[in-house]
Amino acid sequence: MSPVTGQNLAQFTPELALAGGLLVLLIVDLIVRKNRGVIAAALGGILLVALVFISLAGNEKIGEYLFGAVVQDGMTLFFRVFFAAATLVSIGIMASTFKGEGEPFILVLSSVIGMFLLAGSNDLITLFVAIEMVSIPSYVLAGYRRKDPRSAEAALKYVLYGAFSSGLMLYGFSLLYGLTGETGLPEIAEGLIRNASGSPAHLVGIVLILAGVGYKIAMVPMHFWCPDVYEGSPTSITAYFSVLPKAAGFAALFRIVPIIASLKPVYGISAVGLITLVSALTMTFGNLGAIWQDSVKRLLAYSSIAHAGYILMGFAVIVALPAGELHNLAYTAVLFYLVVYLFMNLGAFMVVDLVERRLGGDSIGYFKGLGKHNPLPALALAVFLFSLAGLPPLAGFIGKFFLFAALVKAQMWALAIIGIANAVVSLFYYVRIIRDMFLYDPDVVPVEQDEGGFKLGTLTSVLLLVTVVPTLLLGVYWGPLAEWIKLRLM
Amino acid sequence: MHNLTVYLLISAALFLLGLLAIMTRKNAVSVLMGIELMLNSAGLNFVAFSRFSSGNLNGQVAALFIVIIAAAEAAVALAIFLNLYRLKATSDVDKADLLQG
Repeated sequence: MSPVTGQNLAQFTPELALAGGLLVLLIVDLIVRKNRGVIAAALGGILLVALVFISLAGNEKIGEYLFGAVVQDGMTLFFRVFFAAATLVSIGIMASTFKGEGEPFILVLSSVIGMFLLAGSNDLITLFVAIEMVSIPSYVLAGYRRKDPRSAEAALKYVLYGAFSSGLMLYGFSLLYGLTGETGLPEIAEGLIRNASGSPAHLVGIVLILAGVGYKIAMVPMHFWCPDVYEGSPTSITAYFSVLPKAAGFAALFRIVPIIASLKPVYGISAVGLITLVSALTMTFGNLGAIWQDSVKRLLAYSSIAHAGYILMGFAVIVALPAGELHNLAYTAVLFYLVVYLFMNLGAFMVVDLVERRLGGDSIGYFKGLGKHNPLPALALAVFLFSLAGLPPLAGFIGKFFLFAALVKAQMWALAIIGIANAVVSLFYYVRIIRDMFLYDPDVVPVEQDEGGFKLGTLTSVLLLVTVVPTLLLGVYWGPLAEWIKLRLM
Repeated sequence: MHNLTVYLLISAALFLLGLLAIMTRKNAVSVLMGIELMLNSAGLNFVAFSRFSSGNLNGQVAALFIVIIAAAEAAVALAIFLNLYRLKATSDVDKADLLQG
């Protein structure tokens, strides 16, 4: 091995460790017979804890390596830690559902390899391969309950829309390659500013790429699949879908922001205008859709569309101001919001999963009177929902506050007003669930009941703590995290 | 440049035909065929740009990766269609309507 290759591979340690660990997991899964899921989750958990530390120890000043295909900077480091930590919580949630099956954990970990690659992708080809490495295992996960027609249908919709949007994205990639003759993302951005900025092909390319990435983050108009896939998939897997592939889409968006920002107005369509428009549409559509839902899972799917819209507000500022203090402020706001979203959304889905497993359904009727017979999970869900709605003193409020602060400082008033109106509308449907939980009598009485409510296993209790505590804590003590994120951007 | 234009026109036609197939076809396998047309039109674009305008081989490498990924995607998609067919005895995408969006 030449020294150059060796040095390059040394930077690639987290991905290699993950791939190696995955192989071990596959073999162990073949050997053991009982409790395959528990063992796979435990081994995967150890692997992910190790990955958090390996990623944190990584030097973020390396720059490009592997012939410019991958870049290691503060953003790579942030997303690696984020993905490893979020997956850790996700497989914890999945461990209660899939006690006897190892496959879901192996599929999740194999798509995490794609996410790690995506965090550092610096080239069109790496970006495309990484996105597909995230997507393809997800299609299988959506259809994991093979005997359940709803799960099969979710997988069908996921794979068809997913492949369609990657076709759109690739065509956009090929146009950018044609315009600049390069596949490296920084080179493309430079080349576009130099030669082609403002040509129609440039606009078409960027719109197609936005459509492809927008599919991953469920951005209007590429959101159709989202409520159906979230509803049809097993709930613990939906929890994973609602945070990880979505955050992967945002990681991809971070890498292509310079390319989007290079677009000069064509036919009166500017890059900032595009992002502002999709952001406003996404949050409005998500919130209006959520109001009418009876299934809480589906309601949370629409709410996750709305949250993608809020995060896109930050991107509007980032694209509008390619550099400077405000640019970094918007970056910090977006990354901070992703961390907050991780805890509150995974937590909310975890309680829905708990209720669905114990009471038999996820429609709002099953939540009536939950506060009376199961005060602990109901209180936790109330915390998550209030935080999703953005009420102080919870983490969701601080997250939204940072985003709106960036918008106001950039003087993008229209988008800020639409965002605030949306936050008010969203309060309505979140509070409706909380009202049903605490003020109404139960429709359905749980079968196996202890004195204090459901038997909460050790794992569930730990996971509830792991998600509730940050949701509360980041609402009053956000300084260190915001500072850490800001330092990553230096 | 004349040659490049011909390739670009063919690939644009392929892309639009693929889009048309996705919009109009009801059978899931036909929709998948439309998607494959779109992926391959992008691949053709990459190779044509690599040959005629960019002066490097990156586009041809990209085309290779597209072929590999398209194959992986088709394998997963067909398995999913087959499973749905076993459950509902149809591969008509309009009949997959348990979840209403």
